[in-house]
Amino acid sequence: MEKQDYPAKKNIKFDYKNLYPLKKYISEKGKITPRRITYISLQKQRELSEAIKRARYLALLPYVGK
Amino acid sequence: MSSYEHVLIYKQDLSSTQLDTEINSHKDLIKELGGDVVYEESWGLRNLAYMIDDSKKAFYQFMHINMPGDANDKITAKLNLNQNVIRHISIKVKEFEKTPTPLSKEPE
Repeated sequence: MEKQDYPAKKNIKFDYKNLYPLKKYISEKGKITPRRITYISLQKQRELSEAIKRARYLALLPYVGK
Repeated sequence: MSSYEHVLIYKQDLSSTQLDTEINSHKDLIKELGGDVVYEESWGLRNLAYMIDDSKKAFYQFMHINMPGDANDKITAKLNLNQNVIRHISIKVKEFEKTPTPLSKEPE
């Protein structure tokens, strides 16, 4: 996977209630994209993974993709 | 007093009156324990990303709550016993967001 221009570079705050930005950071299998590929700051990556995990618990995002 | 965000997920097969009584009893419990509900929002009947207890859809309810810290444990204990609640989460926040959440708008 090539490095891409993800929306986190525009200072988006990741939140479990806002699914659209989170969906860009999960793979087809439902995994969280690692930082070496997302290229976002450590603080943002932590915020992102926290948000994805909360959304998964509430069944807003899948744990395992298709 | 601390600020919390609550998300409650109710079973799909509840009727609208049953759902209302469930939500009202939850709010009464918060008031009993010395808290207050600042804002609430219904996300409606949504598809679940995976099946929980053989249900594919569920009702989502979202709330902003101010309550003392020790009330949280009591509420969690009560919700764990409630069979109509599939999932619940309580998140401590510094301040509430002013705008309505994106999930309330998108019908899915």
